[in-house]
Amino acid sequence: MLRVEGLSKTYRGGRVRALDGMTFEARAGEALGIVGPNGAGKTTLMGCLLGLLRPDSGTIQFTEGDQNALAVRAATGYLPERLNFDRWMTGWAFVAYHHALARRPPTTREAEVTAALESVGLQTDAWRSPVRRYSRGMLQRVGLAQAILGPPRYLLLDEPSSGVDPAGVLQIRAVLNDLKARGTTIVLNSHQLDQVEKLCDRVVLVRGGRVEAIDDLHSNERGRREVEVRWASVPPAGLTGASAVAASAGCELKTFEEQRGVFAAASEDAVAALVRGLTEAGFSVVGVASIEGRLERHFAGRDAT
Amino acid sequence: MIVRPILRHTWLEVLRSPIRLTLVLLLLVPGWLFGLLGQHPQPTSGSGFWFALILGAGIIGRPASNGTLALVLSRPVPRVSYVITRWFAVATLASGLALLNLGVKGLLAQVSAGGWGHLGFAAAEDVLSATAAAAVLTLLSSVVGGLGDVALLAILRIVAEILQGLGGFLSKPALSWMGYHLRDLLVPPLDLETVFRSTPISWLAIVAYLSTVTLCLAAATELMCRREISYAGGGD
Repeated sequence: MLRVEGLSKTYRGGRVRALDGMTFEARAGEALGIVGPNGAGKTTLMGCLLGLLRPDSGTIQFTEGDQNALAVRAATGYLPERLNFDRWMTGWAFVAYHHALARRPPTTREAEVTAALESVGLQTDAWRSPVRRYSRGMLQRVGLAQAILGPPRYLLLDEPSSGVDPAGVLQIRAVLNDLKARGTTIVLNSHQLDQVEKLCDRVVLVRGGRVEAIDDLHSNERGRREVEVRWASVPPAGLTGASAVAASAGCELKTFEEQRGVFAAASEDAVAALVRGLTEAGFSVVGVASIEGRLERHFAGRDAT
Repeated sequence: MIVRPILRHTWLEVLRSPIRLTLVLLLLVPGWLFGLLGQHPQPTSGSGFWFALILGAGIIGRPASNGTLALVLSRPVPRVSYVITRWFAVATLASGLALLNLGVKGLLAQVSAGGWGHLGFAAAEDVLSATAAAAVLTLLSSVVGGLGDVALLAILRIVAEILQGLGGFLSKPALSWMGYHLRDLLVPPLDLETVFRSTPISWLAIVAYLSTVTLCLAAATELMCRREISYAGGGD
């Protein structure tokens, strides 16, 4: 478990407040997204979690101790946003170096480094090439490979799929989901809201160094899917009829227009009941589509206010 | 205290740098060529400092500036161990090269039986010189980023000379004293032949040398422990 309480951090003698009393926690086996606009304090937060920056006040507590405890560092994997690796090393040597630094047993090095590189999908012919020849996507993969060695109990990721091709994004997500299932606590700092939404259990929305909200993406409210139902014609009951059908199907009518309606539904069954009910009520339904990007809309809504 | 993976990594990092290797060769080869051509000056100490300077430039400041330090320190590596290991890596490598240089020169010069004693002192002085220079660079590199430690060393050395000169010109012994000690701090001197062949042995010189090296390393580790490591450089 990771618990951050009242974390504050200023720069330039207190003139710039990067973190302002940030409080949240991440549970074992949970993926926690850190989302916010540029300048929100996400990178400073990562620096504090890694013990690279010293908070002015507040505490960071892992199960094994505070952020400076070597036991915490031994249990932590980290992928930076800027992939400034030792460019003269080969990918394999780089991951092996971090295997040694992580105090993993030398006898497991060959197997664990190989497994890590395979799991992130780095092509085997690139393993023995110097890192300076790697593309951004390859750097991202080798960076992730060193971060997942262990596997770590805590995984701090800064934009893990930046510069990675679509197949790589899926592969990285599978790796992270696997780690999550094995009990790794993941803290993910990313601007790619769709990625956050697909991987994370909860999202900490930060702005101006403060926690603006913590959203549980699996709670009923956030877990409700939104569907758009399009129809060719509407019965005389119109809006009233659509509302009644939605209520009886366990859904909520969000938007009603002449040729479409947006409904919030808790499950696939509710969507099926809704469509059946609308058809029976005289709506000539021509299409149903799920609306993605809940987090994106959430942010757009906040930015608009 | 010494983190072996970092020790190995530092050796490899230094030896794979084309610029450093070129400078090392420039320091080694001319003397050897002279030896091969039949000119056999008595091998003397002095190369240890230069090997340390070439190999140790930016020893802390460079990884701090280019972002690789943050990833290493996110591992269970105490900062004190990091600093000491980097210093040790440079000191051992520079000492090794200095010994190699003296050894080859000694063989080429076909040192007589009596000359080996002198050569032994020169070798020990080179090792001590490399060790001290690596410690000074480690301290300066903990203060400034990139290769700024070399520039800082040069500036401080010039300041030391100016202070000494001014002290003499203005008849201000205090200025001369400051310049003298600043110079000794930057390049800790230890003339072993003089120290051990004099009676009584000048233990003060040995203690002064050891205290300077210790002071540099202590200050470097303290600075590193207090330092905040930026891994984003301009991020949010």
